[in-house]
Amino acid sequence: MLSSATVRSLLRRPSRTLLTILGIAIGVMALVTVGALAAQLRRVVSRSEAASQGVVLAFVAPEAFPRIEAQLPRLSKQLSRIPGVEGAVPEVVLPFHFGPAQRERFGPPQLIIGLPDRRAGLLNSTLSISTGSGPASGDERLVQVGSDFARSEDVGVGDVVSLYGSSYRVSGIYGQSFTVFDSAVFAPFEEAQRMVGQAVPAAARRRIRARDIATDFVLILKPGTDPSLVADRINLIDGFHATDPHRLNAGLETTARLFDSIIFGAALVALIIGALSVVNTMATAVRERTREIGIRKALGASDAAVLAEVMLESAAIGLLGGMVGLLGGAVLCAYLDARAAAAGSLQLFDLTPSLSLGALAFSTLLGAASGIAPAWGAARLNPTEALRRL
Amino acid sequence: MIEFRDVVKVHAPKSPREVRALDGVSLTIPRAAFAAVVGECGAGTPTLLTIIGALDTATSGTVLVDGALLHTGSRRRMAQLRARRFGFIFQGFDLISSLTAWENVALAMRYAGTPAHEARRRAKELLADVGLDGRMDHLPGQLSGGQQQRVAIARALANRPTIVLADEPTGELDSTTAERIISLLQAANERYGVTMIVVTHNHELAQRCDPVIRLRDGRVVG
Repeated sequence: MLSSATVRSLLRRPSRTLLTILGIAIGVMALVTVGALAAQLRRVVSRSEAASQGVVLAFVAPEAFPRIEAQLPRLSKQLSRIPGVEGAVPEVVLPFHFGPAQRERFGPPQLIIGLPDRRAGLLNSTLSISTGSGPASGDERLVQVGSDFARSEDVGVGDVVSLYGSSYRVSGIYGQSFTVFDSAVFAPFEEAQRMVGQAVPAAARRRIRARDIATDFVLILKPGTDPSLVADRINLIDGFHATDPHRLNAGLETTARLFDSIIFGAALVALIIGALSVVNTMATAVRERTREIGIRKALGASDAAVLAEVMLESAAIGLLGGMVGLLGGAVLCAYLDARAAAAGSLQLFDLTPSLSLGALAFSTLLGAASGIAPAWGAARLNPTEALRRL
Repeated sequence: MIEFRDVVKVHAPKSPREVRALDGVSLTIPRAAFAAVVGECGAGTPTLLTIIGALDTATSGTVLVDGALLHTGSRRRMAQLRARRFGFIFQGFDLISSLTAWENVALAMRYAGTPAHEARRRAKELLADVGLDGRMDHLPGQLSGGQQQRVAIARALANRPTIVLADEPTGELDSTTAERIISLLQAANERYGVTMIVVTHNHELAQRCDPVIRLRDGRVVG
């Protein structure tokens, strides 16, 4: 498409062409960056939905901790009796560390997750070990970490991490799942219970035995069960609360849709700014080259040929603007992702091939469409009139 | 053969700027002639050339080329006619500044529908014929006036036209270069049997032409 003649034609007024290309590039860069952010959000939403498929989390209210003492087996049975629930497995989730460092991060919090074997099995479809080895029963000093956690805390297989005053060796690192688990440490269930025991106030510590602690129960649903109904029933039990997964997913969907709207808005702004810029450039170019168009017509150029030549140039401006904008957007996404990773936050952008190709196609079509009016004017020029102009 | 029968051309009719550029012109130019059109400024010579070259239409009267009415049909047909039957040489050379010498020549052939590779081959052949072997890839700005006019001649002959219209082809050239250009035009006329119609103020050039059509105030005066 970009023949050397088209490039030479564009380079007749290099600064004007460059400014027009930059105008489109800025619009495309905004489109690509916001689009990549939205794509990443959609990926996180879909992976999180998949990870929570078939389960409902029943959280234990902190004030209920003393009351559930020595009742884990009984509570598990009580929760398992809820219609549609196949089983209830206790788990322990607590923050990796307290204090400002936890709050400064962007993205999901860093967590320590203590999983009994049955719950660990449920995560196999979401998580898989990419380096090292997974949980091994019997060795309570081994932990596994998520990919974002490994990167932000700079730990690898064999390294030692300190969790609530005790040291644990990292046996494996999970591959990226784009879920909350990427920034988590997976510890043996009993060890996580001990950590919670240490974290509760001293006054309460005497009344709670570590082996009776659970922060939530994972309710495994029977196929076809409506998780909303199960969540409603959990909320009727004193000391428990559950979030309706449908409502949670709907909230995430709303956020994703909001980002889609932002993309549309960015695309619209790019459309208006870029289109006006190309229209202005091409109208000026046609005005400056009126005599040249007259010569082309004298040589036998049809209206369609002149139309195509001018539109080809404007499409080339759009394509070049798209390429520069895509490159700029990719660099910006990579830079912001690197900064986020250094700060221990999750990956923010997902610059997909379809988004990249879409942005290029969009900018090229925008360029071509913006050239229609000036091209039409050029095509309809009377050759004699055009040749008279100097 | 070109025939004008009582051709009138009025620019900006019924307006304060109305100009009767051609006022009942009748003339005949035989096939393969080397004709000159001479006249002072405002005589109507450029208008005559644009009407013969199908760039413009007459207000009234009849224009025939080889017995067929010239100005009939759509804009597209007129464009095709210009591409296939006519060649144009302008006073100011008027090459496309962003195209190289061979691309300027090939462009005319591309408009006539010649395949790209064939257009390139013939363009280079024509440039060699006018003595520009070593200047094929030069842009117009890198060529002298005489060289640019030779490119323009090659471009005018590209589609093997039956009629070449030249508007002051030596107007911007020194006498030596002008002589060379006149020789090239004569050679093309003799070699290809092209009807050459030259608008000129150059007496030496006009003396070599037959017929010589003199215009004054839009009328043929001799």
